[in-house]
Formats: sequence, structure tokens, C-alpha cells
Amino acid sequence: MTHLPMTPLLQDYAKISASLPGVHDSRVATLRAMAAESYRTQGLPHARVEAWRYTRLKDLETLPFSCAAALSDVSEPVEGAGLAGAVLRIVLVNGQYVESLSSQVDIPGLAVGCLREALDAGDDAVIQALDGGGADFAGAPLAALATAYMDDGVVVRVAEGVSVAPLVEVVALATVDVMPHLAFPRFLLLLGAGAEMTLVETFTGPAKGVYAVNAVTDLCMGEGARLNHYVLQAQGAEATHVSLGRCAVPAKAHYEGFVLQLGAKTARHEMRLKMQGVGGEAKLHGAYAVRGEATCDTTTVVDHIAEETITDQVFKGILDDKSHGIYQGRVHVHRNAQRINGNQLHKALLLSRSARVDCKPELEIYADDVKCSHGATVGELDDDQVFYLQARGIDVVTARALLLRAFLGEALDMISVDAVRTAFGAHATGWLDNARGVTS
Amino acid sequence: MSKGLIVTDLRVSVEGKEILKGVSLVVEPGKVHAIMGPNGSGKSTLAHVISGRPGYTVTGGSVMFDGVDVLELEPEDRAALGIFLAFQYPVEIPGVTNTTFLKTALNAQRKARGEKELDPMGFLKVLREKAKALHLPDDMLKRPLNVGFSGGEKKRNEMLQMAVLTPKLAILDETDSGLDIDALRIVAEGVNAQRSPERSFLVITHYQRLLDYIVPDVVHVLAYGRIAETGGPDLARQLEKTGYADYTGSAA
Ligand SMILES: Nc1ncnc2c1ncn2[C@@H]1O[C@H](COP(=O)(O)OP(=O)(O)OP(=O)(O)O)[C@@H](O)[C@H]1O
Ligand SMILES: [Mg+2]
Repeated sequence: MTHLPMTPLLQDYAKISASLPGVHDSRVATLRAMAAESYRTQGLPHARVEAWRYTRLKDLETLPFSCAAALSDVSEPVEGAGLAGAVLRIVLVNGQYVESLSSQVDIPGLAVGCLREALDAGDDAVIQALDGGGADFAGAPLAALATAYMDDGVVVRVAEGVSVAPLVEVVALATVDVMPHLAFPRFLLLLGAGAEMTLVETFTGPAKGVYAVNAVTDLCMGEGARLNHYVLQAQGAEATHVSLGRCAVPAKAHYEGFVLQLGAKTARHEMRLKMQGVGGEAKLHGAYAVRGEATCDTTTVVDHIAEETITDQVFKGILDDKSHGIYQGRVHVHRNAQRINGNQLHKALLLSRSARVDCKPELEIYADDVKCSHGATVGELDDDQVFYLQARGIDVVTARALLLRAFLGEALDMISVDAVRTAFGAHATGWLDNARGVTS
Repeated sequence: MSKGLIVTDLRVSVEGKEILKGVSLVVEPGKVHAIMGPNGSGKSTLAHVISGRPGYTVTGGSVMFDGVDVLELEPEDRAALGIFLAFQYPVEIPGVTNTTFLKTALNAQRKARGEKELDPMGFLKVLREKAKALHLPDDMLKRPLNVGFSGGEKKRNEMLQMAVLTPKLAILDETDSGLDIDALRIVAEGVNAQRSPERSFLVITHYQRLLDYIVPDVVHVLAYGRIAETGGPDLARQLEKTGYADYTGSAA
């Protein structure tokens, strides 16, 4: 018995699929077929899917989204997250890599290419790295859909031992079409052994208008590599945003991630980390702020597979109006993963009685010598703190903004790259400034 | 219009329970008034109501400062008017450094009074000097506001804020409790240095010792929600011997 997709998604698939890249490569064709089948079986997520318990993609269920590739004209330079200093910017518009909007690449050991070409050329490294190196679409129907429709995207390769000096920012820009449009930005990083880089993924689109983004990012790290991976979700207020990031952390490699979600009507960002090499370390932190009737879901799935691996997660969220925030953090410690360390903390602040937050930690531990912790708090702004600031002459609106900024700051301060911490901080402050007068 | 603080027949309840039962008090500019009284008699309540803390219901009376009815004002506007409360229990605020906080507060007050913002370098210089006078190490200026400060450090930090904000009326709610002997002297010196014909103080304390350093012009005993007695510095010394046994809950 199969669940038919509840939307026209995939209806035009037969027609489109023949023209998608890599049709003649049997590996790509097989992957696509499995992905399409997986999506057909799973359909759009519903409440009975544990990993999607709290988040429904209502617009995708009800509106006639088109998945056909659309490339709109974007002529102005794309700003992205507003990072200061040297930035190598790669721009995708509606999932299509647009070289003319992107920076010229002139760094030894760094190559930026277009996914479509790599698929057509039958690039082994790329094809093997797709979908985290396996076609595991369980609990990820949207990633399956993205692979079925996989068309263009960006592939970044960093050679062994190379340390990339500028920040690399991938801006996935969406535009609004006459018909609601679903874009599939796809990003693949092949980071060589011992290589180092800072990657920023910026998801953005028009403030007004309905659109949807379903992004897939695969990060392949070599042994001893160091990757800073920062994600800014700053989608428009009517957007649906779904993104899945996957990273396997090999031996002695170091991953630092941060996810800042501030936009969209419905947003779901999921990060999956596989700690598969001895001595691998990962920090995965984040913050979100949500208002109106929006939903913001941050989900993490961490697998401790190898011994002596360390993960640390701190997430902070602010919820106003009738918004709904979700943090799901799953930590799975495999049988042989002894002497690992896995910590997790989620703190939410509710600014309104109608706001709601769901926090679902899941610890599954099959090894016996492990240190794992989990903490979660939900609170309100502290009246005593607000009064203390007011008593010193700071008006109530500024006092609240200062406290909220400080609350998010505890997470944002963990971004180790100055330019990113500053830019993300400014986005968070911008969100709070918009709240002035609205909340009190 | 009359300068200074004029509290007239102030009645305040908390959650339906009457705490202040008609308090009257006049603190003229330049004067130091001490308020003593048993635990729970309403001293902090009085301080909080003057500075505008929410949660209290004023059921009667008035609080005027420099001719302005302060009960009508938001706490921040009272601060801009020059009213300062040194908290009995200073609040910890993670994520906001002492320096940022003080700069924001001072500039907010200056702005509200139509004055120019201070230039950041000038501000830092003043801040360091005042911190030094209170024997507060520089690193406490960079730390989040009161977070992890010892009890005595928090109290001295309140005094630093007072020194930087230069209020016209400073209410010190048990600033001396939790201070060691040296810190007590340093804080008292800080207060005395700020005494001037324009600035008045309302010093809430349980101990004569503070009043040996900060010699008050007037001492009040607040008991059971009323000013039970008013006198000179001698009254404090007398209380040290007799305690509050003479003051009972029944109306005098
Ligand atoms: N929020 C509140 N809810 C209930 N009762 C309160 C509240 N705030 C104050 N009170 C009561 O009001 C009374 C006066 O309290 P207040 O803090 O003003 O006393 P105080 O004179 O400052 O005492 P202390 O010397 O111990 O500091 C006390 O009985 C106290 O329990
Ligand atoms: Mg008190």
C-alpha cells in the first residue's frame, strides 16, 4: 500500500525526468529512481512520521507548486548575509548556479563547479558523495524529492591540506513567480584531508510572495579536515523552507556548525552528523526567532559511530505571537562508540502566551562508557531584569531588546569566525528591532 | 514648586495585603535621611514604589520629586529625572556586559534629558576612574552584569552605577549588608564624595555602623508600614541598644 503524494509534486515527473542531467549514467538514474520511489511511498510528512511530528508543510500540501526549473533574471549584485572581509560568493537562483552573479575563483586548490556538468560528465567523486554517500531517505521525503528532481547546484572541491582563506558563501536566492515555485538548491562540498574552510550558506528570498525552497547540502570531509559551517535562513515571510544538511566527520576532523533561522512562514532545518572517525569533534549550535503564525523547526540527528568522538549542541529560540518553535535533537550512540561525549541544550523564551515550543530530545545509547547530557528550559523574559534596566533609565522596549539579544548572544557568541558572528548578530538584532512596538 | 522628595500619606498593598499604611516623608535637596526598621516593615517596598517597580498597588497618597508626580511615570522616566535605587538584591543579567549596560543607561538618561551622548572614549575613562575609586578591578567592567559577582561586589557595583549616573536622589536599600569592613568604608567614602547641596540620599540600613561613616541629617523608623519615629543621628544609636521592641503594630 502506498501513500500517494498529497500534491501535484511528482505528477509531471515522467515528463521532466528525461531531461534531467546524468540520465545516461546508470548510477544517477538508479539514485533518482530510488528517490522518486521513496517520495512516492512516504509522501509529504505527516504527524505520524516521528521525525516530522510537529511540522506540517501545509502550503506544499495545498498550493499548486511547480517544480519545473525556473531561472529568473536577477541583475542586482547579491548581498547574502552581509559578511565583512574577503568573501568568495557563489550564487544559486532558484537552485540554478549563476556564474555571472558569483565571484571569480582564483584560489589554488579550490574549485567551484556546476553540479549539472558533473552529473553529465559522470564525475565519480561527486556521484559517490550524493545523498551522504547512500540513498537513505528514511524520514527525509523532501530530500528524496530533491534528489528525484536533482538538476543543478554547486560543487566545491578543496584539495588536501589547503586552507581556504576567504569565507565561502553560498547564497541560495529564491524569486517569486506567477505560480508558486519550489526550488531545489543543492550544494556539495568535497573537503580534502587536512583542508580547512569556512562555509556560509545563506537562504534568502523576497519578503513578500509565496515560494518554497527544498535544499540539500552534503559535506564530505577528509581526515583531519576542519570545517566551519554556518547557515542563515532568512527567507521571506510567506516562504516554506526545508533544508537538510549532512556531514560525516572522519578521524581527527573538526566541524563547527551554527544555524540561525529568522525567516519563512514554515521552516525546517535538519542537520545530520555522523561521527565516524576516532577523535572527531563537532559543535552544532544555533538560534532562532519566530513570530506571527510562523513555524520554525530545527532538527539535529547525531550519530556517534566511532570511539572518542565529541559533540556539543546549544540552541536558543525566541517565540512571539502565535508562533511555534520546534527543537528535536536525536543523539544515537552506537555500540562501539566508547568514551564519547555528547551534550545537548535547548533554551526557549516565550514572549507571548499564544506562542508554543516543542522540544524533543532523544538519546539512544548502546555503548556503556559514554558521557551524554541533555537540558531544556522554556521561560519568559524576567520581569526583575527588565525592571533593573528600566530603573537605570533604559526604556522598556530597549530593555527587552537588550535582554533578548543577550539571550540569543549566548548562542551566537559560539561562532568562532568574527565576520560571521558579527553578520549573524546583526541579523538577529534586525529581527529584534522589527519587534519593537509589537511586543510589550 | 518644591525641590526634593515629598512622600505624602502613601498607602501601598501587595496582592491585597496593605504594606505601607500612610507613609509621609520629606527629603530636601542635599540631605541624607536614614530609614531603619524591623524586617518586613516595608522599607524595600517604599524604595520600590518610589522607583516604579511593578507589582505594587498604590491605594492612596502621593510621591512627588522636584515637583513632579512620579507615580505617573515609567521607571525609566523616574531614572532620567534623577532617581536612583541601589537594589537590596541586584539582578544578574547574563550576556550584557557591565560596561555596555552602563553606557546604554547613561546615554538613555542623557537623551531623555535632551543632553548629548557621551563619546565612548571619554565614557570609558570616567568609568575606569570611578571603578578604581571603589576598588573594583577593571575586569569586572567587562564581565556580564553582576553575573557571578560576590554579594559584596554586587553592592559595590551598585555604587559604581550611582557614581556614573550621578542621580539627584539616591535610595540605598541595605547597600551595607554583605559588605566587609573595608568595603563598607570604601562605599561610605563613595557616598560622602557625592554628597552635595543638590543631591539627597535615602539610606535604608539595619546597622549603626554605616551611619557612623555616612552621618545622616534625619533618621526615621519605619515599623509596620508607618513612620513610627523621626529623629537625629542619636536615634540610630539609641535603636542599637533598645531594638524595635517599643514599636508595635498598633497605630501610634
Ligand atoms: N510580592 C510580594 N508578595 C507578597 N508579599 C510581599 C511582596 N513583596 C513584599 N511583600 C511583603 O511586604 C512586607 C514588606 O516587605 P519589604 O521587602 O518592604 O520589607 P523590608 O522592610 O525591606 O524588610 P527587610 O529589612 O527584611 O529587607 C513583607 O511582609 C513582605 O513579605
Ligand atoms: Mg528590604
